[in-house]
Amino acid sequence: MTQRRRAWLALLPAIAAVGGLSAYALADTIAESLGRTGATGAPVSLDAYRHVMAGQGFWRAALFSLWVAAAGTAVSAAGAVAVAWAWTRHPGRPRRVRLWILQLNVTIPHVVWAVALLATFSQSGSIARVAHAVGLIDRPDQFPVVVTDRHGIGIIAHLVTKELPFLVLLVLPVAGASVASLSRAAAGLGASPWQQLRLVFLPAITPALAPGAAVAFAFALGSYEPAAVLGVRSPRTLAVIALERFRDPDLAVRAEAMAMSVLLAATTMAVTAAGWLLARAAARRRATRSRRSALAARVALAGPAGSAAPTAPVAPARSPTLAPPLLARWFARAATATVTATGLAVLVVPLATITVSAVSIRWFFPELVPSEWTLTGVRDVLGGADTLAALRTGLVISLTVTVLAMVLAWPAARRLADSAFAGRAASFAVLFLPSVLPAVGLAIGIDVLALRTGLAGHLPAVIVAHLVPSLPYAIAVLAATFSRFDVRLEQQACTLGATRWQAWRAVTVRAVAPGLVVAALFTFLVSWSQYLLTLLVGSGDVTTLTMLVFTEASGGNATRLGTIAVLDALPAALLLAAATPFLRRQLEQPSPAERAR
Amino acid sequence: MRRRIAPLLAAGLLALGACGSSSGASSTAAGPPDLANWASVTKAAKGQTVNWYLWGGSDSINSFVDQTYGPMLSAGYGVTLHRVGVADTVDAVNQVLAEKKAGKATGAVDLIWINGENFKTLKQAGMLLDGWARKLPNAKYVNWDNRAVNTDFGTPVGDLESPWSSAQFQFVYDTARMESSELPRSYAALSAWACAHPGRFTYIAPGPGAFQGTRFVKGALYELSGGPARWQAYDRAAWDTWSPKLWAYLQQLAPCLWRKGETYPKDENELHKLFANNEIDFTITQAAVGPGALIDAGQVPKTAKAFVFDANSIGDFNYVAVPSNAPHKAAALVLANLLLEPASQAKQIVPSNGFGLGYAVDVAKVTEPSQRKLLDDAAGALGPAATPSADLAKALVGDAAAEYQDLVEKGWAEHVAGSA
Repeated sequence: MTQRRRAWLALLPAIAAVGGLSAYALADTIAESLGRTGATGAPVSLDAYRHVMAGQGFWRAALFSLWVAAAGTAVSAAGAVAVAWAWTRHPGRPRRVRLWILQLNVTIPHVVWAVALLATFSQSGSIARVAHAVGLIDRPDQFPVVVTDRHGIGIIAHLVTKELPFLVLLVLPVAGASVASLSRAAAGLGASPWQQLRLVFLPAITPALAPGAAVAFAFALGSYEPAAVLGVRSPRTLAVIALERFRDPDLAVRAEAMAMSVLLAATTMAVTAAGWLLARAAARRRATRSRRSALAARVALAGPAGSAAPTAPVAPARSPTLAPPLLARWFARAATATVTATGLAVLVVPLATITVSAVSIRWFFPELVPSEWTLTGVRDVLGGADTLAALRTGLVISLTVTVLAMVLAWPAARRLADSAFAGRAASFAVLFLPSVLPAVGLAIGIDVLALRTGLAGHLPAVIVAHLVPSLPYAIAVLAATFSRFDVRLEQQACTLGATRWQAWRAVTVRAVAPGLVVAALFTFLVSWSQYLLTLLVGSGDVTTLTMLVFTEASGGNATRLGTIAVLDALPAALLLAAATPFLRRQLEQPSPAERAR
Repeated sequence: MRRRIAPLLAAGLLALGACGSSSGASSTAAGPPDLANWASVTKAAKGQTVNWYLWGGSDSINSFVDQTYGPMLSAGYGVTLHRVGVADTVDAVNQVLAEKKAGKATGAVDLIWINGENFKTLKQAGMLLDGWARKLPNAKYVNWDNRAVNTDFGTPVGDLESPWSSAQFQFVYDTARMESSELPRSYAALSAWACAHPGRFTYIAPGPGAFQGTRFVKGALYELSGGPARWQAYDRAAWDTWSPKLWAYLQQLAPCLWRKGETYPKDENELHKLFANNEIDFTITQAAVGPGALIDAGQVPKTAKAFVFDANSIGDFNYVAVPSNAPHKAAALVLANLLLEPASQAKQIVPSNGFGLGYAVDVAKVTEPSQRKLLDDAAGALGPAATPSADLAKALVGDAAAEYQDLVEKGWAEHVAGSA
C-alpha cells in the first residue's frame, strides 16, 4: 500500500505538469469547437463539426495527412532498426562521423531544416544549379519537383531525415553491447542473422522503439513546420488547414479550427492506442517465445556437458559467422560506405546551402557559387540587440526546461520502467497526452490558461508551457533506459555497505547516464525549436531565436534568414559536441551490469 | 536520499526561472486620454513604453520603424518604442481577442498596424478605442472625405483607426529579360502572354495573410465586369452573375502558369524568390516606389522595375488602431500622431529608408511651405525602379467591399486551386 502510494507520488509532479495542462488545453479546445467562445457566448452546437466534415477537400486532406505521417513514420522506424542493427553487429563500429551525422541532424530545429531542404531541393535550389552547371538542365522547370510536390515526398523526406536519427538515438542506448553479446551468444547457438534480429534484437529495442515510433507518428500528423514549408496548397495536411482556420479573423471559422484539432487529436489518440495494443500483443507473444527459446538454449548448452548430446547443429552455424566470404565482406563494406556517404550528403548539402546564403547576397539561379559575398547579415545579426537578446532568452528557457524535465522525469520514468507497476498504462496514457495532441490546440489551450492566471508574457509561463511537449520525450528515453537497468544492482551496493546516496550516484546514475544525456539533449531540442507555444504564451514579450527564424522565413531576405538559421542551429550542435565523446564511450563499453558479471 | 534532492532542486529552479521574469510587468492602465487637450496627452505619455504590434516579416520595415520613429519618440516625447514583430497581423488580433476572452482589463498591445478583415474583427468584438483618429493634431492633413480613406475594405473607419501609409498593386519585371513594349497591360493581354510563355507566370494564392493574391483576382473581376464601381458595396446578385466568369478566366489561365497551376506561391516573398531565380518573369509589389526596397535587400535583381496595367490597379491605405484595453493609450496616440507628421511621411516613402509605401496624408492639405517641400522633394526623388506616377494615378481604383474578400478566397480555393 505504502509502496503503491510512493509510486504515485513519484509520478504526480510529471502527471500534474503534463497531464493537467494538456487535459485543460484539450477540454478548452473541445469547448471552443462546440461554439463556447467567450467572445461570442454562443450556445453549444455541433455546427463547426458539420461544416468541417462536409467541407470540400476535408477527406482528401485527412487521407493526405495520414499518408504523410504513416509513410514518414514507417520509413523512419525501418531505417532506424536497420542502422542500429548494423551497428550492434559490429561492436566498436559507431565511429564519430556516423554518430555525428545522426545527432547533428536531430539537433537542427524543424523550421531551420525545412528551410534548408527547400533551398537545396527546389527547382532553382543548389542541386538544380549543380545539374545546370554540368549541363543536365537549362531551365529550373526541367528539374524534377521533389519538394513542394503534390505527393508529400518533400514532407516525408523531412520527417524521415529528422525522425530516423531520432529513433536511432532512442534505440542505441538500449541496443548496446549487452544486446550485441546476446546476439553473439544466439549466433553461437546456431541462430541465423534473421533469427538474431527477430528473436534477440527487436525484442530488446521494442521498449524504446514502440513509444518512439508512436511519438514520431503523432508528431508527423500534428506537425506544422515541414508541411507549411515543404508542402503545396493542395492537398494540404489537416494541421496546416487547422492553423489557417484558427488564424482566420472570423470567430465562427475559429470554432471550425478547434473542431479540426479535436478530430486530429482523436485520430492520433486512436492510432496510438491501436499501436499500444499491437505492441502489447507482440510483447505477450514474445514472452511465450522467449520462454521457448530459453528452453532451447538450455537444451543446446546442456549438449557439450552431457555425454551423448549432438554438437552438430551448433558447428555449421558458426563457420559462416566467423568467416564470411570475402566478396560478401567487400559488399558489406561498400554498402556501409555508401550509406555513410549518403547520410553525410543529406546532412551537409542543405546545411552548406543555408550557410553560403548567410554570407552572400543576390545568389540567384543559375549561380552555383555566389558572385556577391557579404558579411552584412552576420554583422546585423551578431550586432543586433534583438537577435542577441533572443539568443539569450532561448538559452535561459531551454536550459531551465531541460533541468526541470530531468528532475520531473527521473522518478516518473523509474516507476514506468517497472512492468509490474499497476498504473503503468494509465500513467503513460496521461503523460503522452500532449504528444498526441495537435500542437495548435495545445498552444491555444495553454495560452488561455496563462492569460487567465495573468502569467502570459512571463518567462516562467513559457518554461512551464515548454515542459508539456518536451517532458514526454524525456520520460520516453529515461523509461527505456531504466527498463534495462537491473534494480538489484542498487540493492547489492546497499548490501555491500553503500549508503543510498552512494548507491544512487555510483550505480544508478552511471548505468543510466547515456540515456540521461540523450533525454536531456532531446528535451533541450524540443524546447529550443518551439515556435507556437512561445509566441502565444509569451504574448510577444518573449522572443526566442527560433521565433526569429520563423519571422525571417516569411520575410524573404535569404542572407539574414541564413545567418539566423545557422545561429539557431549552433547552441544545440555545441551541446551535442560536448556530449558526443561521452555518448560514444557509453555505446562502446559494456554496461555496468556486464562489467559486474 | 535522492527523493529529497529532487524537490529541492525543482524549487531552486523555479526560483531561478522567476528571476528572469521582470519584463512587461509595469503596465499601468489609464482612463481614455483627453484629446481636446493634446498637451495633457503628451504629458501622460511621457515615460511610457508603447508596444507597437506590426507585421515583422520585412527587415527593412523593421529597421525603418526602429531607426526612424524610435529616436523621434524618445527625443520629442520621452516615449520608448517597443516594436513587437508578428508573423501575421492576425496574431496581434488573436492576442487582443484572447485577452478579452480571459477577461484581462489591461492587455499587452498598445498599437496595431491593421487593415481590412483584421480591423473588422476587432471592431465587431468591440475591442478598439473610439473617438480619437480624427481628433489627432495631424489628422488635419488627412483627406477624410476620400472614400479610400474613410472606408477600410468597405468597413467604415469611423474614428477607430488612423492612416499611416498607402499602397497600390503593381507588377514587377526584369529589364534585363524583357522590353517594356512586351509587357501585358490588361488581364486579357496577360492571359495571352502567359499561354505564349508557358510556366513563366503565376500569382499568389488568395487566402488569409495573402491579400495580394486576393487583390490580383479582384483586379481580374473588375476588368471582366467592366470596372470597380459595382463592387464598392456588397451585392450578392452581382457576385453570382460575375463570379462564374471570373473562375472561368482563372481556370483557363491555370494550365499556362508556373507548374501548370498545380500549386501557387503562398506569399509575396515566395513570388519574389521565384522571380529572382528565373523561374517566372513577373512578381508584384504594393509600394509606391516599386521594387526599390526589394532591390536594396537583395531579394530581386538590380534590373527589376515596376509597371501597372492600364486600369484596375487596386490601392488602399494602411492604418493603426488602439485596442480598448491598451496599457499605454496616451503613448499610442502620440505615436499615431507622429506617423502623420509631414517629416515622418517624407521619410517613409523614400525606398532607401527601408519602407517605401505611399503617403497617408493629402499633400494638398499640407500648406506650411517647408513641410510641403519635404513631401514634394521626397516624391521627386523616387528611383528609376518606380512606376511613373502618372501611370499609377491613371490605373488607381479602390478595393472592393470587405464581404468580397472571403468570397474571392473561398471561391478561388473551390474553383481554381482544385481545378488543375
